[in-house]
Amino acid sequence: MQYRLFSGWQEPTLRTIWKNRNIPPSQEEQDFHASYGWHYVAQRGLFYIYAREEEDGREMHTDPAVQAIDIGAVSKWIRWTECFFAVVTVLVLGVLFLLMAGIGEVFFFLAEAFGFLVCSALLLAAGFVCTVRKLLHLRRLRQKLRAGECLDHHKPWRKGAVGYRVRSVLFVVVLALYFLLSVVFRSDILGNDPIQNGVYPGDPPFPRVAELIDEGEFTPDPSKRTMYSEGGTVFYPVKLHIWEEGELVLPDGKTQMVYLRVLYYETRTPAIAETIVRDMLRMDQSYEHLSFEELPPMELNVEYSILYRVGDWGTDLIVRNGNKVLQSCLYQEGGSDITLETWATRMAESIQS
Amino acid sequence: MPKKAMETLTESMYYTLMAFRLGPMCGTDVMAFVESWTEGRVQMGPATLYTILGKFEKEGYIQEISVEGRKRTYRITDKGLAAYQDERTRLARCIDDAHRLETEEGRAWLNSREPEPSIDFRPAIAVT
Repeated sequence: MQYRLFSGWQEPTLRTIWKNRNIPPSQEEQDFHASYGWHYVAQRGLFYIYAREEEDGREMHTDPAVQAIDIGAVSKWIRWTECFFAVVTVLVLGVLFLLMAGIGEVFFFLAEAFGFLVCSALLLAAGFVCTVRKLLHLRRLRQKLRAGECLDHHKPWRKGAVGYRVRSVLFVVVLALYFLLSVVFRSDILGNDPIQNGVYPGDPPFPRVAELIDEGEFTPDPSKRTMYSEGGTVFYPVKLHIWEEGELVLPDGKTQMVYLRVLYYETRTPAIAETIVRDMLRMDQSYEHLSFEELPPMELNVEYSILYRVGDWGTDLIVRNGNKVLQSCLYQEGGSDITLETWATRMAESIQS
Repeated sequence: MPKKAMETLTESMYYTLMAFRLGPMCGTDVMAFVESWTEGRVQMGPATLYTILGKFEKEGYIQEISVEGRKRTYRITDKGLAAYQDERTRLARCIDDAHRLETEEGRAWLNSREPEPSIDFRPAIAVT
């Protein structure tokens, strides 16, 4: 049995680039080739595979220069498709980047999805390298054909077939590794580590509501916004988010509702900590329907601090010292037993060491 | 200056245009004409002819005029005729240059050149 490849595709144009290429050759083309002993078998990429059983008979390609034209068209399709794909990828990434920048989440998006982005970049690079190899191979073939040299159909084919099978298996392995690494890096596209309901079981490096009150008793309510999330990335190995909401019972029997949120990061370098602070502020300043009001600064003995309000829901604090960053939000209803000074000072003290 | 594509036609392309000079034809008719007119010397493969027809249609050398079932018929265009004539002229010039070399003019040209000591300029054929 002999096999030959034939494309028959014309060079792409802006109108034809959108054409579906996964269609078999027309019946007319198949009949024409069959009248010379070549029967259509299957399609592989842009090439159609023809076969014949007899060794004698007319070859499919008898003019190397014309065969070079056929391969040239295939080469151009691959180049156009690759360029189109590259443009779409750049546009999608650009839009994503602008969206993230619009809500101030550029660094967090990059940091949280870092492993996923690296794996994706490697996969894209591998795909690009494969395409370049394919184009170089076609270019060498065309040069040979244009010089008048016919292709050697008697070369041993088993080595190439083994290579093809190995590459297919390798592709599946690489894909599997890609998904495994994405899970290992705990990077999903939303950049959120899983949030657990309930009270954080460990001892956080910052004060919770109980450590902010001088008298009374606070009980975090798991049925309300009491939860935590722990994680870290290559940029900030320690990330701890704690939300506490519950009832503060004062000695005189009065009660008040207290809500505290703390986002805590320990970064690899102070520069990363500064970037996180910028992202946090950008996010909070990006709410169009909420006002952003900076409050008078306090002397907190840290490298950077800012007190502000977003809308009329609670007070926010961001403090940074070296490679530690802490953002906290305090909301009290029915009283204000925890003063802003106490809260801000104790939060700042927790990152001074 | 490098040659543009289609500036020089290959033998298969030239004979294909020659076939269309006779009148509208389909692919099978072209193959049959080329094989019979060259007495079997030029045999085109189906993939070669298909590529040539596609390329010629794209370049405007031929034009599809009818489709009957699975048979497509083409005719040559003025552009195709001009390309055929250009190639025919070029080939004739090649033959003419070879003939001129074997005439008095060719001999005179050879004799007018001082031969390099290490190179034998004797013509390949005997000159009487």
